[in-house]
Amino acid sequence: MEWVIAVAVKVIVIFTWALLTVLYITLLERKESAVIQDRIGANRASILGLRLNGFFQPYADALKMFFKEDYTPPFVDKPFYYLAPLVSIVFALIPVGAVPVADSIGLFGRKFPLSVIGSNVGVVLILSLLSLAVYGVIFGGYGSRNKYGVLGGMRGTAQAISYEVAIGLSLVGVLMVFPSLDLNEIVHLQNRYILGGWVPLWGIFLQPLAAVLFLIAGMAENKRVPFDIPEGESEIIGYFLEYSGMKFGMFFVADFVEILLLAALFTTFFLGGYNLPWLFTEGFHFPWGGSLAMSPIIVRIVQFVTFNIKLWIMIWFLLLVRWTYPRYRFDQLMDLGWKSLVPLSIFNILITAAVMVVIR
Amino acid sequence: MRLFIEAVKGLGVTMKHFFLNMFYHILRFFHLSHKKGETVTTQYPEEKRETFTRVRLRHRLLSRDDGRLRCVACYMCATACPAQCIYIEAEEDPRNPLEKKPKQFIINLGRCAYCGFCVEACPEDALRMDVHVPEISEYKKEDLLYDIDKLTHW
Amino acid sequence: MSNRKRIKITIDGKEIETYEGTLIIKAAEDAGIYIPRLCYHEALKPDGNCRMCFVEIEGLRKPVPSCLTPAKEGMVIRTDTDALKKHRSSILEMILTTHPMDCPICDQAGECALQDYYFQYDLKESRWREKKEKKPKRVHWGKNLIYDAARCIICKRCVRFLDEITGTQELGVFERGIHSYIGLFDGNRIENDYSGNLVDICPVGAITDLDFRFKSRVWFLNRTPSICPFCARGCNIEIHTNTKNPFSSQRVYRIKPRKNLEVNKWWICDEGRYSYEFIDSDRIEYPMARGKKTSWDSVRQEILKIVGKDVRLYVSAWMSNEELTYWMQIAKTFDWKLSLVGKPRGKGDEILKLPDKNPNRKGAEILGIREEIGHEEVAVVFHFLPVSLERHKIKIGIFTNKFEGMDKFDIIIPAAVFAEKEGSWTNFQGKVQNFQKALEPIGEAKSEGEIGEFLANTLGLDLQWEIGKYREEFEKELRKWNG
Repeated sequence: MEWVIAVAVKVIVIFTWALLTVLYITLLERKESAVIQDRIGANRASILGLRLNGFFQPYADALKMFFKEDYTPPFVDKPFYYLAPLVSIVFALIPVGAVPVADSIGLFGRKFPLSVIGSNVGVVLILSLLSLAVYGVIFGGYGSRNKYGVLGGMRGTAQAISYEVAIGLSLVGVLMVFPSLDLNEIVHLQNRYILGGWVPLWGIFLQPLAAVLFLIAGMAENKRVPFDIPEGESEIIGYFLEYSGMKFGMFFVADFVEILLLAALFTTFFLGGYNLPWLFTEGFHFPWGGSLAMSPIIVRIVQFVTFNIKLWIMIWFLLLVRWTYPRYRFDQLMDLGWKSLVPLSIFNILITAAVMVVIR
Repeated sequence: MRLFIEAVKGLGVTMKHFFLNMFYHILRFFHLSHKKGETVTTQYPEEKRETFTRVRLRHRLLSRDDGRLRCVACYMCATACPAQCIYIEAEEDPRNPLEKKPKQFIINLGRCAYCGFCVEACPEDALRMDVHVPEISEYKKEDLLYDIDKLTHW
Repeated sequence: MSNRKRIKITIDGKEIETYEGTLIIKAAEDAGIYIPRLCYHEALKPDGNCRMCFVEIEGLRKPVPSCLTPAKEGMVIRTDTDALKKHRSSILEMILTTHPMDCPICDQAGECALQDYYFQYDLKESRWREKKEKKPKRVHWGKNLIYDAARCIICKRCVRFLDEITGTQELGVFERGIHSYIGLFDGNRIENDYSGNLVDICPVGAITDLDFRFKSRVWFLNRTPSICPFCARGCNIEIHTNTKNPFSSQRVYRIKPRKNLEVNKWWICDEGRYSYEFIDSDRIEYPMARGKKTSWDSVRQEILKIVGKDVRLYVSAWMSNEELTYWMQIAKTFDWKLSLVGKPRGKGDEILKLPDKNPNRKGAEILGIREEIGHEEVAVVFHFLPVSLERHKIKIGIFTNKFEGMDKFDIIIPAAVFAEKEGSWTNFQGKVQNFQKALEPIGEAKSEGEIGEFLANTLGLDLQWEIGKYREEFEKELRKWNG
């Protein structure tokens, strides 16, 4: 019984957190692109005359999305057409639930991981759900009965499937270093220190190549600039061409959820997750000898804040990349995926294995 | 590898802009500086850009010293107008030696191309386009037909 | 003419043949060489006061006015030397010392001889530093004439016109030198029937038309050659139209005469000039049933009611030859009776006006249509009411303009006026003259030919309205009539 309540609370809290984050990713995207391009960005939305430099803009955007005419073209393939946005957003949101936002918490004599899905095969779960998200793209493209839609869907599918391989292979190195499939465990394993306790043993220090590969493959999986070939704003609009109103909104939100997911996964695998350096369950243990005892709840809160800060830095970086590079061509994209990322990931696995054998 | 370096350089460019502008934005937010950095945005309704003196915006009809229109309804502007958006109806003017004055003078600003030929053509310097108000907008198409009343009050 | 001697002269290196005693300016014009002139007019006796038409003749020391010099055998004439150009420029400069620069408000601008010559020969800044002579403007001379003494160049064309053509002699030149002006003799007003021609012959904007005053600029007008419908003479006219102004319902702005030496020479009467209003106002724009607007469908229903009944067509003397022939064809097929209606006779004069106020009575006469009153059940009436319609039960009207008693007609079909269709009329001399389409028919109006086709098709007769075909048929009739 407590377990059910706990899960319900987690679902509500975590997904509220996730969606709020997504809401503000949209604002960050607008503001960051504006600042990069010497503009100011959306700052007109106001509540009772209170503008706060566009703080309420995401709500205005969301409201607009709700009130837009949701037009279904008469020629579409109805089941697929209606299913596609749902599939997209559901399979983008569920993996977010597998990411631990803080250390697990002991309640009612049981241990509750602070992620909705406290699975011990979290990595596999996320990878499998990510590959299911492809269905949203292909349903959308196919159901639209529009040549541009189909084209976009085809491109999107090919791209997603190709980069799935690169993502999976780049993670193998991480899994070799942190031998667990439980995300919480992986984060725990990153709370170790080397070089006299000064440098945390984060994924990015152990697997720098894997980090870069994962980031690139993840961005490609995300289907955003510079890998936005299925969408290609200036050319074919892509698989959601025939969508309007909230159905388009769901694709749109799924897009940003995927950014959140990518940032969260990167943080978890490579940036030590919710770990603040030298913060352990019972408090700080500094390498210079000092220590600061803290109650477990405070520690969880600090961890959650830490996780969010790392997350936002990653999101900021992803958006920076999106506003820096021009779009890849499709053949270049495939070349990058199959000829660079996949061989490099395999190379990374070999090196990691070799190093591990030598060290052992 | 060279490509990679160039890509990172590109990130550097965007980052430079971001941090520079962000720095000034933050300064401005706390009223520490009024500099805008490299930001070029004009916050339109609150601040307006200064128009150039030679800019051609909406027309106005000028009056003589005695308050009556300079226009003698000679149709030169209507003749010169490439968009054919000027409609004039002339009538007898009791003043000597003017004889002629416009009864109706309509410029269809919905059609106008703002080329300024009418101003060039006017022999009486009665028509000018020097009203520096860029907000030429109406709710109805018909309201874009600017008559004498609208053209003399700007 | 024929007893005069044929001679050869050379103008600008071009050898031309003409009669002895022909004025050089006329001979040159016949040969296609235009000599600039202000006071000379073909129709009037030469006066030679403007000095624009000077030419050089070989053997003479000084240039001579070509409008006063008759041609002689072997003359070698030059019209375009530099000296002459300079001379014309000086003449223009002198005229322009007193001529006001009010072209923007002058109705003549655009068709003003002085303006054209200035651009052709002078084109320089005025050197006149004194004040210009102030003369009265806006002098009302009677009827539609407005005289502007300041613009007047005293060419005396108007004075001569009233002397020689109408013989009424209302005008004269008063004062002397720079103060001279054209004025009415005491107690006179220009009330003759040809006053409008003064506007045409005035080379500058001194005499302008009150009817056209400030209505439009001349370069906005489309000019369509046409024939005046107001009497049997069939004067050649030009209809000046402008349909581009969305704020005005006026389409016809003025009527101007066309030169045709066999019919109207250079003139038209004031009745023909100023009676164009019926083209634009009080028109029937939609089919009417008993005075109410109706649709073409109900017109069709109404027409179907006349099947198998006796019908009389009252065709009008305002219809073109082709239309009359076409309607005769329809009448013949259905065995309908035909008679003619037209405007009643009016007054004529010895210059142009004829008592017969219909343009095509001759054409109807050639086709053998006479005025008679019928007593058939159905009457189809064109344009004018016949003397009596009482005996007819069903009355169908084909009219252009609204009139009293429209509600007595079962159906009135809107017809196009002459300016809205093409065709030809036969004038009293038996001359067939074409008029062209200047305007689109107003509202839903159709030309009589199209109405005929509509009626014939409704009654199941496949008879197309082809203007060329009926033109030929009419010409056959004309040849028969001419013998």
